[in-house]
Amino acid sequence: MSKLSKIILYAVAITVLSWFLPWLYALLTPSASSDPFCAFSPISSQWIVSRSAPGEKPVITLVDAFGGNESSGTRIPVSVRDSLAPQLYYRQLVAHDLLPDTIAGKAVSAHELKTHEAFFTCSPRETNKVFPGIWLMMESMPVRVELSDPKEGFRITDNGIEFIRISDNTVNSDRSRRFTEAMKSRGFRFPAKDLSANITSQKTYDEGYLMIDSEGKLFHIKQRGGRPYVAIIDMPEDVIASKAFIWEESDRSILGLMTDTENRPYVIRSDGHKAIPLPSENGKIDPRRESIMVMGSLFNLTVRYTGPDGSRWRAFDADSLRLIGSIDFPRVTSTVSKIAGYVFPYTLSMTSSYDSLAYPRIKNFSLKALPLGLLLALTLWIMAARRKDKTMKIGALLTLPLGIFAFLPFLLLGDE
Amino acid sequence: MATTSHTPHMTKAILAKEILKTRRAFWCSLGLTAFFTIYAILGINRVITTHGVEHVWLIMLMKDQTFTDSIKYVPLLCGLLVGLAQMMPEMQQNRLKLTLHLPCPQNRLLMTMLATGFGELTVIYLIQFVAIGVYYSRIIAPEMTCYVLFNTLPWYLAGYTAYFFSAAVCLEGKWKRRMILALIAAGVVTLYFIQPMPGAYNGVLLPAIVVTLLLTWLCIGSIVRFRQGLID
Amino acid sequence: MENVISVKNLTQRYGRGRLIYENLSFDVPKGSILGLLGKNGTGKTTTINILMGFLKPQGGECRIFGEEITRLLPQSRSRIALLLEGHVQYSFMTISQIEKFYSNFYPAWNRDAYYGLMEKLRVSPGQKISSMSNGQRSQVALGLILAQNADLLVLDDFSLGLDPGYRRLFVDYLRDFVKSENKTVFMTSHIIQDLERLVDDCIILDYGKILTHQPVADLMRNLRRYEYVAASADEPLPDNIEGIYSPREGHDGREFYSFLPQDETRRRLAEKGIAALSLSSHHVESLEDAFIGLTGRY
Repeated sequence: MSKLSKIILYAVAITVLSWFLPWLYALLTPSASSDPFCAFSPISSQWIVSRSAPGEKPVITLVDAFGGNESSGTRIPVSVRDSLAPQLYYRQLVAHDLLPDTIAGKAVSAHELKTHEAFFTCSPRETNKVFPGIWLMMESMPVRVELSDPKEGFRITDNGIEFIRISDNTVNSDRSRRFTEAMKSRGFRFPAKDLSANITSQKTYDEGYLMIDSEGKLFHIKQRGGRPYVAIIDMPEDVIASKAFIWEESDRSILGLMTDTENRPYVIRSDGHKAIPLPSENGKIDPRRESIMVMGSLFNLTVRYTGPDGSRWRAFDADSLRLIGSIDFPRVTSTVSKIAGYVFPYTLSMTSSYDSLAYPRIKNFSLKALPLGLLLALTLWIMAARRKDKTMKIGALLTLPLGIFAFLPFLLLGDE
Repeated sequence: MATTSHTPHMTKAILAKEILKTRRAFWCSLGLTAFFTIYAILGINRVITTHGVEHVWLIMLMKDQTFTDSIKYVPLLCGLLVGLAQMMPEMQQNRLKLTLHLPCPQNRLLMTMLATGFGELTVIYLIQFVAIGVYYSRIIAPEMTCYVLFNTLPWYLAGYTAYFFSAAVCLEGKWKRRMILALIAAGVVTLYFIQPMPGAYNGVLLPAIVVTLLLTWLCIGSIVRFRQGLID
Repeated sequence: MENVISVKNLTQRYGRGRLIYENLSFDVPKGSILGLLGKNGTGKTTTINILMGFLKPQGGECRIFGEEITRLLPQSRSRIALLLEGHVQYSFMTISQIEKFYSNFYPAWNRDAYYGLMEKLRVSPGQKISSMSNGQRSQVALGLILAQNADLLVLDDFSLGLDPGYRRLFVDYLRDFVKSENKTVFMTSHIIQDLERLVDDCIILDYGKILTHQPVADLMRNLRRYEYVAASADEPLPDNIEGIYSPREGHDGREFYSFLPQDETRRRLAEKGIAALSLSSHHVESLEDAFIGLTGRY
């Protein structure tokens, strides 16, 4: 009994410290992450890499479209950046009357640039969220002009879709039947593997859902005048969809994004309901582990994938979706975390910036912490020998691999 | 000479005594829980009156809110309250010595005591849990009710954790070790609140329940140390 | 005669520090009342803690009813009544609740003994213990102890908080109870007068050692108070002489205590160059005098 209670106490103490000490360390040594921001210039076909630190002037570098890096690039002033990236900084250019009439063979105006301005983000945090299994359906063709909050929710079962009237929390069997039939008739196999929608009345239009059925086919489903609208998305053969993201961007040319089971990214064009693969070297993206940011413009789509290893930027031609630029920024280990590597043999965290789940994850294994572990273990061993304390001797053995996380509890909880 | 062994009426006597001792803390905790539960429910009712029940669904599904934030720390508070009310008197005026002198096996005695507090908390938590469940099942889909209820489970686990740790801290005789135990307790309890996203803990609930129940042995450890005379 | 408590070579220190006692051995035979006396900090409560299994001794062995105390069975525990500094276990209970509670644990429970004492308290059975005075609480505790009808009574500072009348009453009550039912008592008290009326044997502890262990009657008979007039003002006090306790300068001369006969005492004084021509021997008048005589006045 007493032995078990000791084991539990030490195990709990070690676990708590393995989480708390690295957390405390990170809290006490804040390091500003200096992830750069990139834009792709339609004028020079180069990357414009901006880095800014709080209170300092931004450092802007012009880097080659492929294979370039910041150190070999050319430093440019802010004014030059503005004219090189008119898709982003057209407001500044207009203010100084510097916006040209044509860029890269396209006629431009502030209005035109604004219309094609599009922005999309999605993080693993969102992707990995726990969903209750109920979704909301908006009316995409409201009687009045503006959208309103959804009046019905739905669940997807093995055999169909079931609508629930929110007002009285009862099933709307009529609508359920109509949607199920429409979906089945278009080849939708229940249940759904993934659903994506952007439910809010604070947007200009509603495209409903992108849904992946149980076989990995992608469908566009929405409610129009209370009736189902179901369309299958044309995908290259043998592609099995894995994650879909609806993107109701302002010029309505892109319906959404998708990844397949091989983690290849696709853009879904509204025109023709077609999923077009995004070509790129090293362009695979696992939306469950990496976040995606897309900036669309009249000229190009700039995509950033950010994961634990760093961030990768890709630029695609807006019309052809041809890869026109690529630049990678591997994650740099900060000095602070290098030092941590000498102290902590591993770290335990319950949360992660890549999901919204709480469960223990052991990471950052560091052999560099072994010398400290050895030193602490020896200290404890000597103390244990002096006190003839068997528990402390076990503690010394545990301190060897577990380092400071085992040392502290055995030192502090050792019997007097 | 009469011989005695541990009999059911001893357990019953201890149970009755523990209930008597924690009576006030129990009703306080129940009152507190009722207050905050009603407060939460009234809050949802207000949203429904002003924005419609659609808004509740929308916020819940799109903004990851379950409208139960106000009760988040209440189970924790109850756990602490019951634990302290039950074990603090034991530590005053040598009472624990007198308790341990009762002709009843030590672990049986302690387990009966802990079972009382655990049971009282379970009653309180269950009432709240059922109240939330019943209320929500009327206005939202069963899946969402489940989602809301699952989201409250880590809070109850935090409450039980606080209970067992406060008992272990009280029963521990050395101040230094009490402090350390309290710090560890704070650490463990914090773990249940670091990820506020609904459903974040669903995957670890089962192991967390096992760990929580294992914490009873911390109290046994404290008693064993008390027995060895490790008291300030 | 059967020993109810048997202590052999008990050694105990405060932590790893000051020695409380070394190789303490004593037996408490069945039917006897043993008083453990000593100044504050000599280890009275420590001894009770060890005996009741609340402290693991650093050396030695203790047995109660022949059982090693750390492995005392619940059945044996039920034969021991324990009172710690007059504390009642549960002040949130009423007079009758606490009686009912304890009655579940002790087969030989004597309800009448408890209520007999309670009647003298002039409290109602429904009164909460927390609303009572310290002295009244001690009385409840004593009532419970008696009702338990145990074979061994361990009383640590039982008279704490009791008023003189009740102390006297309880001492007499206890004495009758113990003697008529052949109970064994191991007790400590601050008020030595009470013990004098009660105990058969006494152990007097000093810092780090036992001063004496003998029947109270023997102690009173054998211990003597000696007085003499010093030859000169600068004649040293008879300090550090074996067998001579608590030498001090009194009003009418010098005094000390000793178990030694007068001749031997004189010889030992002479060895230290103290003539003590006027040495006179007196009986001690009370156990309290004997206690102070042996342990000194601080």
